[in-house]
Amino acid sequence: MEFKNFLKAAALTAVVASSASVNANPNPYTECGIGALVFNNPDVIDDVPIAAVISNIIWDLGTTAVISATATPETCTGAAIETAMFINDSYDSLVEETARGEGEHLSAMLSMAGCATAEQSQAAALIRSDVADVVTAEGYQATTQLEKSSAYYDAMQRNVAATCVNSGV
Amino acid sequence: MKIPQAIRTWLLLTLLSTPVLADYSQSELAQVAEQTTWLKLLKYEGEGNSQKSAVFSEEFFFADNGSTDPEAELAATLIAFSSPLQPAYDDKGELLEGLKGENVSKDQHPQCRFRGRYTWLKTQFDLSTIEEINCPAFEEWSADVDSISFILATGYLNNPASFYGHTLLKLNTRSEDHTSSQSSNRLLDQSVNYGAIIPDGENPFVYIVKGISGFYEAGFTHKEFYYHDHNYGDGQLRDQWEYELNLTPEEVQLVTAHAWELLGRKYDYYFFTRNCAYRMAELFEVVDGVEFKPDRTFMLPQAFFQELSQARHNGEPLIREVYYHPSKQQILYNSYLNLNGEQQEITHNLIATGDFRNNTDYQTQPTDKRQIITDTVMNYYQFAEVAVEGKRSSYEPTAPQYSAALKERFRLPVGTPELDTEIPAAPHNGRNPSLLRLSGKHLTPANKTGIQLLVRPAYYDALDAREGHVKNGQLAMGTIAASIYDDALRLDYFDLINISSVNNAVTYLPGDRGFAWKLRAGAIRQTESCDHCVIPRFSGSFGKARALFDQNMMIAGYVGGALQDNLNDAGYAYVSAGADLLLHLAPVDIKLSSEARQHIDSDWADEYDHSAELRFETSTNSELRIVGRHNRGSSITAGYGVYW
Repeated sequence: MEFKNFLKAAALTAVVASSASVNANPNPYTECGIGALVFNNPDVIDDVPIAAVISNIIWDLGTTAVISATATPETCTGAAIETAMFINDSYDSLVEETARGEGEHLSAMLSMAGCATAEQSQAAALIRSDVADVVTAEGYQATTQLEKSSAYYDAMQRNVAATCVNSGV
Repeated sequence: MKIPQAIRTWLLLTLLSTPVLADYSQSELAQVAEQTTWLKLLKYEGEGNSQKSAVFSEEFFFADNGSTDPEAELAATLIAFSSPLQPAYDDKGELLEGLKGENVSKDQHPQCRFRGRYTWLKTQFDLSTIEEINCPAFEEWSADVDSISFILATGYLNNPASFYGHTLLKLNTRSEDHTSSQSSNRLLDQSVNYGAIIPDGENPFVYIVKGISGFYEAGFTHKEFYYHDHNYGDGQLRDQWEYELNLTPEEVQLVTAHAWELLGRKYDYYFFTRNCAYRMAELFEVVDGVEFKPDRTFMLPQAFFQELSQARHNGEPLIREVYYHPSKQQILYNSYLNLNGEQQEITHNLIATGDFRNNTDYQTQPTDKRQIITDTVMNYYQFAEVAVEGKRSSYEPTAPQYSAALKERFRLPVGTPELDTEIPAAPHNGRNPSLLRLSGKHLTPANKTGIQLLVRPAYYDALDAREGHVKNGQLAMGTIAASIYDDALRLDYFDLINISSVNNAVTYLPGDRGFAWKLRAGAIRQTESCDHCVIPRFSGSFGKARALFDQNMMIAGYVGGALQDNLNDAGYAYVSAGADLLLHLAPVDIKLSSEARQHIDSDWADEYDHSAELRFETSTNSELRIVGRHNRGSSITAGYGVYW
């Protein structure tokens, strides 16, 4: 990474870290050990060979293995990891829908995180506000998809925890 | 191996003395074991002594001969269902205790692993003497499932395995009034997929040969639907059609439970016959009264959906609802076509510059139009990531123009303007996939008149491409055309494969500029007038196509070449340049083609091949077609075709 990009990434990380510090629950990308295991290739789906796409075996077994290897009830719950994976897999659609304030992926993520239908609209508005800060921060474009997903997760987690009674993240 | 009747009877009598089986008579067991549903649950194929399960995983059977003896498997299954819970151990062999250990123990119990069998057998026997086990993993997997859909991902010409489309099963949780905190969302529904298990990096040609010949193992897997939605709709730009079935809650429960017990079981995979559509149909056939036996030697996904759409079940249409899920390409087109010419021009400019702030033409647009323009810029980059060759980073969502659009969308008010969206005709409304055509044919200057028979097992050409096909494209496999004259039977051509892939450009942005290619392999008569001159030929070309008038006219130009046999000193290769013109004036379709060829290291002079083809659709499943061709001789063919 060039030095200029490094500075930008560091600045974005600072934005993310400052907002993450208020969270009681861990960020699965950095604190549950799944970042390196699952997301070492940010384009994992697009890069899956034709054969693997057809068989779906690799992905399926991969998911199972990750959850059993890393999830514990006290720290990284299944819902947290599943939501983190969904965010990474659907990031482009999700961040666009967040900007629009509505959408199927946004609703799916909120459901996954434990938000009831009646709570989703408020949670979405709060997430939109926080993600807008992340997206407009200097250096956003230079960050990897994993870093973007991680920052998005923090914004989601903070607001879902504050808004949704049965938050699972 | 078939066990002799005497030994079989002894084994059964021995089994019948076990406590659980003592509750049932041998005739009861025999009667249930012969039932079609039991055979379907075991995936039996064949008749009589040759019947055998298509599943070859040993763990799918409780009896040693369970894959060939349904009665022995039934007896062994009932015994297994009555077995006590066993302690569960982890991978290191240590005892799992507490709730986790208890749940694992339950999930490993035969009643939980074979939930479909258990569900159905409860309707056949009084199982009250057997303690019912609740199954945590299955219950979580199947929670709130209230209907079932089949998904058809439409064909994809860039991957041979996907030419004909792909079939999935989706377990829907549509009900809005269920008690869980989660709202229903199709992306989170479980989906069941069937496919070949193929090593990483398999050579495509090896893949085709092994896939057709049954050298791959295959199986069912499951994943939330968003994975497939992303893979097909975003990653491969394929539209998806969802067909929701009209089943009773008990039938939904049985299919769901049966899908669960099939996950991970191994089959042999055959691309044309025992493929995704076949196995999905077979899975669904456990529902009483449902039969989807293919009436052809191959099973195409679209044909399966056509059968589904015509079927009735419990006195009502089997299909309850059809949903359309557009690809990223279609989403781009939808938003683009909701803009007027000036707004489209603004969009092109913003895609190039990303300068939203200083574009006064953009800034003066009403809010809803700015929302659509911004969405179109983002949609374009999502599409371009796949469509622009070479994975150039300037055409991905990492491009600065995309980031600028995303930032702009956060600045705009929330909400998505309603778009006028044209939903294409659903694939089940299309014609049947195979063609049989009988024509009269006249040759000049040979002055011969004969009868031509053409058989095309699959699938479509540029004139009869309809619902679920690539408009103006062609995908023909196994086509054979032969003519009978007074003196002889002559092969006109045999196409192992004949593909024409076109991008019917709408935006004319990079990646959507009408790139086109053709590929043809098979045997062909060198000219219309020659005798004893059928040669193998492999030809290919690439070029550009432009669709006009709402894709009802297309012009295309190509350059290419061919490798062939050197019969009559025609040379082993030629280079070519050609052009096509297509017109669709329903119910008439017209194609004019011309190609110039220069044979390499050959005695032949330059060759010109011209053809004109007119198709008149007389009904959904029939046509009249006239074909004229000139190439060192001329022919005219006129005939009637039926689709089957």
